[in-house]
Amino acid sequence: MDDMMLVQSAQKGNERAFAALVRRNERRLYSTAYSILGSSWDASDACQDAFLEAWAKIGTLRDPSSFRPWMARIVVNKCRAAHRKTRRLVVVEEVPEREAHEFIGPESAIDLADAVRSLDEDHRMVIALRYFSDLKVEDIAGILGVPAGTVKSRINRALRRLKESLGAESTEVQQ
Amino acid sequence: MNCREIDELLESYIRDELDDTTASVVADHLEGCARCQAAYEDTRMLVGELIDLGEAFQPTEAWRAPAIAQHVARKRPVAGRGWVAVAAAFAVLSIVSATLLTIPALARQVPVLPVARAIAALERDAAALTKQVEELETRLAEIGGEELLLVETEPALDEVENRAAQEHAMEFVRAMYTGDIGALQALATDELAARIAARPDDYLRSGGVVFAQINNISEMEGAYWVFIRMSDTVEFTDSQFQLNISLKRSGDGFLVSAVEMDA
Repeated sequence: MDDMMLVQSAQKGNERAFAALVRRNERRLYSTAYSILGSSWDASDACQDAFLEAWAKIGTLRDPSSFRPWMARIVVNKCRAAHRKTRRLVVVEEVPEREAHEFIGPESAIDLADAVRSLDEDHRMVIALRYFSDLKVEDIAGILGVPAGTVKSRINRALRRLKESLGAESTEVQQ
Repeated sequence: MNCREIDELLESYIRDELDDTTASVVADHLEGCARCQAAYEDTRMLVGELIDLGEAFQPTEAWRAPAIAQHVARKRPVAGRGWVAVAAAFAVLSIVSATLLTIPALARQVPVLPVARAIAALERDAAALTKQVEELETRLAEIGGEELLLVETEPALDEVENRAAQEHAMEFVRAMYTGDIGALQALATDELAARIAARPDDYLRSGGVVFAQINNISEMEGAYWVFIRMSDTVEFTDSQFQLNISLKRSGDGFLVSAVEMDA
């Protein structure tokens, strides 16, 4: 069953269809949130909130084929809210904890993940939405409220910075 | 098109999002330009790795689909016309109560309404709390290498004991979240250690801690109670609760004798 059929089924109140949508999209949405927030638990909370909101509002989604950008928009909004909340929260005592994810990619991807993390927020956001959430430039422009041209130039700039960053690392290793 | 213009189009070309004419211009240029061909290969590889990276983080159990499904089972989407009447009634009630709550003077003129009684009670509580806050002494102390905000509600409690009790309680919380049954038992009285052995799941929390803050510590009938405001990822976002940890003296230190959870 494709996403569109699952969405239509979830819109009729089918919880299992919605759970299947969650399972299909959780990794990519989590990666998006993690890139934006930089904290695995904040990302986990943001996704959890986003999925709950999506379930509550799935009846309002007019075009079932646009589930992915719709869902990504909810995640980005939750991340923005989490940002605002984190800025206000003063952590007094924090217990050391494990991450909210397991890294199941190849070892070579760790450098790339670090390089993405070192980008500034605007560029991290477009990389996350473009590749992790797999969205079109126009959809990203709609979510971020900037022109498509701006999204394209941010993507190109971010890719150049990632290449530079990874190139610098491999040069360091060679030396 | 020159190399710079081609470079700007490479990403869209790789994602197959260019119109046919532009795509063939890019393809022709790449055929005859070794430098752009190399840039294309680099970008194509990087884009592929980034797409794969989106699948490389596997979220842990705490918030995965079954948990969501379980939660949403209790909170189905709004559907059907029956909700329209309920929603309309709710909207009217909201307007009435919002008006009364936002204009307390108006509410006070209708003293028979529950909201008027509630406002009066809240005002009494607020005055009492303001007095309490004024009496409290707030200061910073360093415990276990961390700076903690201490609000002294029991000035009679000895500072050294206070600190030792807080450290012991926090050790216990750490063990609850790291799943260390041995540590939990070592920090507990024999009686509690036996209960932990019998029902370990009652004392372990599977999620991560969002924050843990000691709000108060007090002495009651020979036992110390440490009240810790907590938020973790076991429940849904914004869930906060209070952990009450009772400590008993044991030699120079303390042992946990009871653990309670409050809203």
